[in-house]
Amino acid sequence: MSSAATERFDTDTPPPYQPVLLCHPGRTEPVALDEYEYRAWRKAQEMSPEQVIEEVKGSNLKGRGGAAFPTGLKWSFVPKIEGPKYLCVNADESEPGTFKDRELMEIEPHMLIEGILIACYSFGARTAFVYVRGEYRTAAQRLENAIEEARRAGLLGDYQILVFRGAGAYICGEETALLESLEGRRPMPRSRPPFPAVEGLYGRPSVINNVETLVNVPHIINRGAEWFKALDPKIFCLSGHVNRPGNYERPLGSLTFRQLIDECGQGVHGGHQVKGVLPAGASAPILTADKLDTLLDYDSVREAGSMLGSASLIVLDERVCMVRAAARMVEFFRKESCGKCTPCREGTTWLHKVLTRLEQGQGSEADLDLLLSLSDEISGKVLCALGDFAVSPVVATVSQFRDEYLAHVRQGRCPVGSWAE
Amino acid sequence: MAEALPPVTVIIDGQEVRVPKGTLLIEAAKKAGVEIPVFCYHPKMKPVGACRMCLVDIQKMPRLQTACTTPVSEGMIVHTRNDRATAGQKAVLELMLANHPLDCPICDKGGECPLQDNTFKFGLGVSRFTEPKRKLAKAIPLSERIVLDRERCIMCYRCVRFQDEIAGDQALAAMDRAGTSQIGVLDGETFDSPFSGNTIDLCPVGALLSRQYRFRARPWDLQRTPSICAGCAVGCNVELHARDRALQRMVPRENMAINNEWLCDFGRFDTLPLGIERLREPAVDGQPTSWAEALESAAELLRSGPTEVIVSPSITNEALNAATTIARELKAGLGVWPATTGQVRRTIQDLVTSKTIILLGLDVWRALPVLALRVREALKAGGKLYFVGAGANGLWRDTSATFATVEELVQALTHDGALPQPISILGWGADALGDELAAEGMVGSPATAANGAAMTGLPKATFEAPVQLLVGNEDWPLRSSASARIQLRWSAAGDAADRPSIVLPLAHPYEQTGSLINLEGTVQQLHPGAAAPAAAHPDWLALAELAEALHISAAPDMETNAALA
Ligand SMILES: Cc1cc2nc3c(=O)[nH]c(=O)nc-3n(C[C@H](O)[C@H](O)[C@H](O)COP(=O)(O)O)c2cc1C
Ligand code: SF4
Ligand code: SF4
Ligand code: SF4
Ligand code: FES
Repeated sequence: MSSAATERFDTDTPPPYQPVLLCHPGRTEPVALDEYEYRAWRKAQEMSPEQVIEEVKGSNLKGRGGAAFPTGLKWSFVPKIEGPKYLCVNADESEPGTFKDRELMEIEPHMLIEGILIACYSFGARTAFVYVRGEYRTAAQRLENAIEEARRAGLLGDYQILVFRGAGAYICGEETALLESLEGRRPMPRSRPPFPAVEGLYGRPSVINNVETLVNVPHIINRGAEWFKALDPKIFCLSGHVNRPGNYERPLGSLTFRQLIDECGQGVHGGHQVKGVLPAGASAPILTADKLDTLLDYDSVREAGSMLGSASLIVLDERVCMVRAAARMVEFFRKESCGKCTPCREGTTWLHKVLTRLEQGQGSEADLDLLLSLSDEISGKVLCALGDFAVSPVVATVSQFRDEYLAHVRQGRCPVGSWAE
Repeated sequence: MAEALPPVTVIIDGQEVRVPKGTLLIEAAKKAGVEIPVFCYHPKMKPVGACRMCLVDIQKMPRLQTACTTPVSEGMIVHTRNDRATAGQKAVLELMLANHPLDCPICDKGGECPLQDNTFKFGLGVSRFTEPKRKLAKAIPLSERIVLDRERCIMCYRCVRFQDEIAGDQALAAMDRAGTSQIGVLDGETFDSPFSGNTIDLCPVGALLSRQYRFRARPWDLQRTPSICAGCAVGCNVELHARDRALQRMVPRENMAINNEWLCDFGRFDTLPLGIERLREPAVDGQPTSWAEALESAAELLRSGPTEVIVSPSITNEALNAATTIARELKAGLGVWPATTGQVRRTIQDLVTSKTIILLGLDVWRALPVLALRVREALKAGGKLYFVGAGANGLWRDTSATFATVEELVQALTHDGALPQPISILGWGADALGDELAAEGMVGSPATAANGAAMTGLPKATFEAPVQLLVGNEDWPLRSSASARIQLRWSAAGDAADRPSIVLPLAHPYEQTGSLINLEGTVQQLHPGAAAPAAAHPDWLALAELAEALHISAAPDMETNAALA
């Protein structure tokens, strides 16, 4: 997944969007220092830290890690106190169907480094940790090489950027579990308050930002808040039953699910119909085909009944058994639950048992009520968002594909079959 | 710290309560007399919000909140028993019980189990979980002292947090994740911590259990007697639990001035007279006899020759008084063995609030275990610990620096100015260094034996007199130079063949009244928590009887103690 698909266009259509972040389409080798200018970093250092934060606030940049929290605001929460502060870059990227941070680190490591430096400058950190998903060996290597290049070129000054490789758990992407893991502990989310901005890594004020969030920052500094606000580029990770899966950068709100699938993904694989789209990996409710004309931006997707999250869209065609899909997703959460809190640890285990029973045709109609009731017992009662994510495949499929569940109950087996094995 | 903040008013279930800003909601509720169920929360440890049992409804909050992690703020309106809150609590209990084995009838915790109690008060009563429950290993021996039942564990992390936050040795860990999360020790290791027993008290279910106590009693059958641990000079406050007047276990009683709410394993398990052969009858030259005859023979021997009265530093004050009187009247030598020191200024409270703590070769971790936990409290509040000497230091994890000599310490630490006060200094030579540093904390060389502080000034016993009166349960160095020996002890004497000799059976400290002085000088009362063997007498009574046989009038305070018997 090293680059976006080559874009095809003709003279009748408006000129294609010029990517800002994934600005080297088709490239497989990292952009080296001699091809990259640290212009924004130089410019930022001529500004005051407060001006940098104001600029980022004004740009309306929202965190790309999933929660879409305004980035400038997050930086402004860091108390102006003496002593160490930290930036932790979230490169754990473990949401199913998410692979944008990987491409950014593999191809544009200097853009990330520049974003890191500007962020550190803005709220007074001198050390940044990049928490890279354990499997991302190439990304981590390329990033380390680029950091070394930048250090040799004297760009880092007294800033330190340390690459830390995770050991493979989805929960390490949750920001406080990430902090625990960085500190060498078992990754379990922390109870808040205290918030990381006040008491984060090693008990010090800390900011956790996603990779994609940070690569936007140099562009905001270079071209200004207004320019960014008007554009708002976002990488959409498109996967599932499409002809051309990949990372596609487009302005938020500039296209619909359908346009993304048809124009970027070149349509559904094998000419099949879309049955539903998961807008944010396994973590947000599935949207049915009738919602395909929803615009791809945070508000529109929320209004349609789901969440854009990290914008990792997984397309499911009409052959997919929704009971099986739900069981698969819940199995993922069951395995990835950190086990700290009761409703998630026990609830996902139980949900998975009921879903498995239903999927194998051994469930009853009463199980559907049980699923919804269990989802209610988990949702809103857990310590971190993983537990809330875990029920969304259940609630969304039971409410939108109830007939499929009932077919399993009535026929005593899966009516679609198990082709997806 | 919360105390310094201004008070705020919160309303919990209609009850108005004023508490310092930042107080945890769970504590504010306690103050308002409102019970919120908990599992993972424990007031002595940092809240983690893991079990979710304490969910409550806070006005203006979209989600239920955990009372154990939420600091109160002005005007907060909280409902702990409305429909939303109770639905949340019931949900958590249903999920927690889904895989719980519910083998209460064979579980030691039954009858004193927070899971039973919370289920009864806040739970559903029925389960919708129809699948087979998770099967895991049961009764895994984690150490000589503790077994773990993995099926019963509810993953509240109290045990792990205790070993991490309070003991500091991280002897337990959480392993694996999700539904297979477990508590345990690393492969090939055992749960070796001098404080492991506290996790049994902390565990809110029957997952961590005492091997000594397992299957021996039901909580409702226990007679509970407050007393004092006789293990060392800390003088931890305890409750003795007996069934049919037979001692079964010992648990801590909270006393913030002394032991907080902890015990060490030595005190908790090894000071109980369980599995130890008792001395049951008086005997003269190996022949069982009556108290009257044995006392007569003893009096005769004692009058016959130069005598040394030798006391253990663990006998009660009342016994010490009687022994002193006897020695004085007989013009006999009086000595203590093992030798003890006991000069300490100020109290454990002053130690806990110290900013600098210096240990002069004293391994508190081993010698006065619970005092080591109190030292750690001072360190958590920002104090620093230094150690001098080449000996063992069980608090090594928490020690900022170790020095070979006192001079090196003074040189290294005071060249930038004075050390932060209060300074506490414990160990040999503490007084001199205390004067040099004008220490305002606890200073001295503390006694280590249970009543050692009362024996300060007593010379070390010589064991040279031909007639020796040995009082207390020690492994006496028995030299053949003695021509006659009278032993008052509670465990079977090892020298029955030794002639001429008289043995008189004592009650164990947990079977008698009496007082002990702890290392800081606090006088504390023992209370009998179990029946002594029929012929055994409290140490002070046995000595009073001996004094009578010698026609020595008993010291006045012995009469009052005799009345207590
Ligand atoms: C279970 C879980 C997994 C997450 N995984 C990631 C991840 O892999 N990468 C990421 O950037 N954020 C992830 N997040 C979101 C982070 O907690 C956090 O909100 C984000 O890193 C903040 O960065 P941003 O403000 O730049 O978006 C996850 C959150 C949860 C609850
Ligand atoms: S919700 Fe799940 S992942 Fe999050 S803390 Fe609870 S058990 Fe861990
Ligand atoms: S063993 Fe007991 S104290 Fe430890 S986590 Fe399990 S239930 Fe909690
Ligand atoms: S520290 Fe001393 S008094 Fe306390 S439990 Fe241990 S042996 Fe008993
Ligand atoms: S007691 Fe509050 S979460 Fe466990």
